[in-house]
Amino acid sequence: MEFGWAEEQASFRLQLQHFLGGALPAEWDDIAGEGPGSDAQSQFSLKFCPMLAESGFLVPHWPRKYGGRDATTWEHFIIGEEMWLRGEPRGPQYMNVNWIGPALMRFGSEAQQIEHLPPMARGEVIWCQGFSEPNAGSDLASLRTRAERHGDDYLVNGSKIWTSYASQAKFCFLLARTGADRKAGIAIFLVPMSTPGITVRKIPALIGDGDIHEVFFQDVQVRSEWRLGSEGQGWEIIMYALRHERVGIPRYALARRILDLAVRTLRLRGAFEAAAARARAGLALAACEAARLLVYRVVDLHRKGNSPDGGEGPLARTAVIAAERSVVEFVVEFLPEQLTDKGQPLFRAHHQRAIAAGIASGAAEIQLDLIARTHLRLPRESVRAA
Amino acid sequence: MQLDLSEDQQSLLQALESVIGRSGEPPRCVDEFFEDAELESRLVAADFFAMSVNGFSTLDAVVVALTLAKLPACLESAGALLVLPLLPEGCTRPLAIGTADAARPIRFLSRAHTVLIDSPAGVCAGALRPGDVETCRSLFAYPYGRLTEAARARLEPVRTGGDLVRSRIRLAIAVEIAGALQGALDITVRQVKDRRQFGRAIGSFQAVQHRLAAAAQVVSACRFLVCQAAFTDSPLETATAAAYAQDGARQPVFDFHQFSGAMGLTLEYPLHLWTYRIRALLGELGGSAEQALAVSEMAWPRNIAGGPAQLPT
Repeated sequence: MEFGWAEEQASFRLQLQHFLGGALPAEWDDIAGEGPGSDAQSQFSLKFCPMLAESGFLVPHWPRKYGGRDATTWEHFIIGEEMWLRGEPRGPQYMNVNWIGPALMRFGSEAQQIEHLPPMARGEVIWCQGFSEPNAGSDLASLRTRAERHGDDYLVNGSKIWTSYASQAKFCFLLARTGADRKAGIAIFLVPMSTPGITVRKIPALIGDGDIHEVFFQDVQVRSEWRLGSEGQGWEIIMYALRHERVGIPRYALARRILDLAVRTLRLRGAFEAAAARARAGLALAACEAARLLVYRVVDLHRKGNSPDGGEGPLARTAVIAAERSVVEFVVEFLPEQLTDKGQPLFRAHHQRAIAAGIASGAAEIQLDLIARTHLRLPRESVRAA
Repeated sequence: MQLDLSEDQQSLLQALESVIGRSGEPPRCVDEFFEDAELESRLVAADFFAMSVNGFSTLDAVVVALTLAKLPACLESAGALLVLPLLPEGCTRPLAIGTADAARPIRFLSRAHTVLIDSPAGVCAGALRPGDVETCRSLFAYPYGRLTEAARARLEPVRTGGDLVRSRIRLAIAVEIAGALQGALDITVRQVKDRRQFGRAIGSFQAVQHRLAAAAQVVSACRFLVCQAAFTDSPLETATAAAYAQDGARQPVFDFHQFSGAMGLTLEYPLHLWTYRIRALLGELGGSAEQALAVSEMAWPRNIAGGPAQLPT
């Protein structure tokens, strides 16, 4: 067991920090304060990600044939940590980098890879994920949006909800039902958002302007060559994608930065002397450390090619949610003025991201279910007859 | 960053498991604490309490201490493995660790050969003589005692840095909590799988599953925090591990008893052998708030003059 970084990993992190120090503009914190899915942040990502790509920091972990350099799992993760620490300047394109691109590499046709991977590798394209529906959130397999055969192609009807980045996205990674079987009847389509019949409505939200949307599909003609994998393969692809997303966001990194900033801010006005504040800060730090180590555990398993099937992913997610909560509550209780327009924008930026921690990418309660099943091997709760 | 046990550490654990063997089963009805003298003798004979002398690392010692803390027996091991090596030669285990508060009984003191007192003035230690200890009975699952004034006055300052000793004391507490939590979780999971009500195992109810899952997350985090702290021997990280363990253990201890029902209130069922040790550990060194204050002091230090730190520009 070792808890330090290898020399090449530490060096990589320093290079990245040096790059980000120069590449992020002075107003980045203000942009981040607009919200993760805001027009401002999405537009920024279209300028920033090409610079990252040019410098080799966007997709180094991708295979060389797709524009990467086969960088290590840890280097990929270090990028994610340093990005999230700064409020995720890659914006919506972090999804391309982390799981949409890898899903295409694994399941996509050659034509799909040729069309979609280069723009992702250049940092030039925004995608949204068409997953959740009004009646299918945590129970994603109960989705109803239908893709019915229409000659050689499909006609899609239905709606998605909570779709991040939909108003900015060029493409949608869309889940739709092609058959009756709950899981085997799901397929995935790579749909241009400009396709006639797609309507997007922004949902005003606590998590920043433009982050979540409803997306309506009315007789949307979807070509069969836009289908990713086969008709019955959708659930397999979703599980592959979710495994990457479930562990991927190092939220504790920004949480810890906010905690440090909160302490500095309190100190400046002589308000960090009370034992209550200092003890709460200490416990919040401990929660961030716990989350960091459990996330590292999952990354280490991935690095070794081991599947974290003992519940390590959900254990890490649960710890991350607790860490976010402890820092949010510390700021809310000891620095409420920072969450007004007179406060430092980074506090609002963190708050918007942190309050979604237990809901986005799989609800906290589902993580607890998974820990119970896979880690503790407790029996499933039987579904009661109506 | 490599978070699996090394091959050597796995071998060490296997050797430990073979010494533990089938022992560690408590008698049916334990009123106070459960001591396993035979196991203790076997561990001594196998040199498990001489690890630092034999070149094992602090992390190796923590790996052993975690496993021993998981047992239902109260075995003075974490202090012996992590703190005793810092004390002068001639100090032998069992080690009891107390504070300047003379009214407060000290864990293991009634069985100890060496006592260490950690006070604001510094760290003192010494060998115990007959008459030094007044045995106390407590509801916590440890042997306790009070140190006489005469014995306190006889203790000598420990030359090894007080900060390192204090750091290792915190680490020992966090390790004991982490191990005991794992033991309590294991027995509770077995219980909820077996116990049936309303036609099904109570462990199949989501409310039960979620709270045990949350407990499992705390247990897992405690384990990695103590291992990190042992690897770096950083006072900040030992304080972090101790703060997290003392704060995080409260809810699981409550839940373990809830899910064991009235059976968990009996002496015939052994859950208290873990949970009542954890309860004792929650109050050590002033509890989680004190460890959290220590974390705060180290993570965000004030300047030497005592005022607010200058902020970096």
